[in-house]
Amino acid sequence: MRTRLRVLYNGIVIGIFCSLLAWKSPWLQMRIPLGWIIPVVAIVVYVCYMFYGKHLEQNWAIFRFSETSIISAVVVILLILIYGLNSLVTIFGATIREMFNAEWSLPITAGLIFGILVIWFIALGIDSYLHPVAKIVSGDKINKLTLQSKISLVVTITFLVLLVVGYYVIPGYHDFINKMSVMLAKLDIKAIRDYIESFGVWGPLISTFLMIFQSILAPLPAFILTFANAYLYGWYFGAALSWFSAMLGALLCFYIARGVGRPFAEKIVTKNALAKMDGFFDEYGNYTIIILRLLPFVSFDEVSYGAGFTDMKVGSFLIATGIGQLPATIVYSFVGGSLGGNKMMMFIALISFIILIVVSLVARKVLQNRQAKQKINVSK
Amino acid sequence: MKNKRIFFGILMGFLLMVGMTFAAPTESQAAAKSSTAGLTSSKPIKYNKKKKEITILTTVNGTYFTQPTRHVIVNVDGSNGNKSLLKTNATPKEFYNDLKKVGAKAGNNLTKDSKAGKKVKGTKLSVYFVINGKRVKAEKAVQVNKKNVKNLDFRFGGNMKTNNKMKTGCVLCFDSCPVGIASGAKYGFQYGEHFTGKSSVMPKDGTKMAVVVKVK
Repeated sequence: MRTRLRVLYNGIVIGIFCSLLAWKSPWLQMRIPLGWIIPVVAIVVYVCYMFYGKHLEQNWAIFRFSETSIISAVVVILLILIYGLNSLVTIFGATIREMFNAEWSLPITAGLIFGILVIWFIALGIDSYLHPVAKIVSGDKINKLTLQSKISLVVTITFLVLLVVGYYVIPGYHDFINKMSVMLAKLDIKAIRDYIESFGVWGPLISTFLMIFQSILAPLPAFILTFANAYLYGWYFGAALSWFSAMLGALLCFYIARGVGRPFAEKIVTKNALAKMDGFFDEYGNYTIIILRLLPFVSFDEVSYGAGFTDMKVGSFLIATGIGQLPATIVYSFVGGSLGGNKMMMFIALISFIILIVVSLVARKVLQNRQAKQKINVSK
Repeated sequence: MKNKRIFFGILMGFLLMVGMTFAAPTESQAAAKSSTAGLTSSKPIKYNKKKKEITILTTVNGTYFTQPTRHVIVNVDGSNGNKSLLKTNATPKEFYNDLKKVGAKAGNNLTKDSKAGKKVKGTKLSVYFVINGKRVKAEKAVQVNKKNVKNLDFRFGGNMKTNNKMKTGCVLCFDSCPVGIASGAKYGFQYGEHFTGKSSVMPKDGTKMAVVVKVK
């Protein structure tokens, strides 16, 4: 019962977030009473709990109080940032009253529902203090074919099939991919910049798509995009955009590999190759990822896929990727920023580039030494 | 423990119910009888043949002071009843008939298949919101894309057939529309949701307000 109340609370909070976000689309808000998104999302969340939480024993799907707090805080902060308090009260009240076709006062309706949620949240907090929910020890064995891995396999394959079929069916998408592949393969920075710029306000979004696209297709280089972003949006914002979108791309690769799963991958790539990779990741641990990201011109996408096949945790993969990416992203952004003819930028870029190479080589050396030491220890 | 939980759940539900009842302004006998400009929710529309004017009783929907819409006045029972700056109990059919009675001629030049950007035709109308007893031009109380607008050029579009079929309840629209009985010709068909009420001019959310439509 307690868990159900907690899951229901999360479902409602996530539902409220989705429905209020939908107000951003006039087209949508003019066609449906957005309030109905709340129960629909709540039901979806509940079904997730029933299946992933109860059946597959996944930690994320039982919404322990820590997760509940994070979700609540993120939702409130995001909504206030997006709408500001006044608009938020108006649309929140409107969302609720529209469902009931009523003419209640907007602030009172919003305040009342918010009040109920706060009381509910406090009750959940007290409850979790009195009866802490233990973390489930995940039965997720990466080498075994479980129901979950079968599901993720089907979902991943479907996703990939849709990507490929979409290419042949949707003309706009087809042209987009063709254009991009040619530009990226030719390393045509100016063309990419103009292309991203032609989307105006949507430029950053398109740039993110491009980064994700080049992540999935391993051979295409990413640094060109980093240049273009810095060229367009200045090195500071450009770097942030490149860093964020590259993280998304890496995460997607990771999850595609994770979704395909070990048992299936073993059939395609030999067991031996995967075992070698495991050894590689075991030896270097998370440093591998950081080092490989540091090295310029190394296509990182294979590593993202590789990490997805090992039993590495998503969190540590993300942290390692984030740290490892930072220097290269900043340096490339300097280079991109200097393309506008800024001499000072050019100079900084050159210096940082040299530093980057040196640091990554030194780091590699240090790692090799450590490994050598470990081997000696083992032989002792 | 489980009983406690169930009790807690019931208490929650009860609280919700109580809150809803308090938050909902129940339309008491007095409210139904209180009249604005001689109109009540049971008799929400009247016309004056001499002055060539129609007066409609509406309720302000404050949602559209912050959110954009294309609907000025919509009947509460229509599918767009919650999507307009002003709600009304008057039906599109009553409004259409009254406009005919005061001598307006319908344009009937738009259909759902009309090209985007096509402008509505028909007799010119002026629309006034009665705020604190004073007539304020509708244009003064709204913004388009967050900018002030001089003249929305309202016309008697007609569209009774489409209106009957669609059941949207649309009485008056901001931009040229093949469904609304009257709409603004300044912006062509499918201009979109870009209109917001000015909270500095408009009465508060939930206020009853009379709207006067005058045939030019």
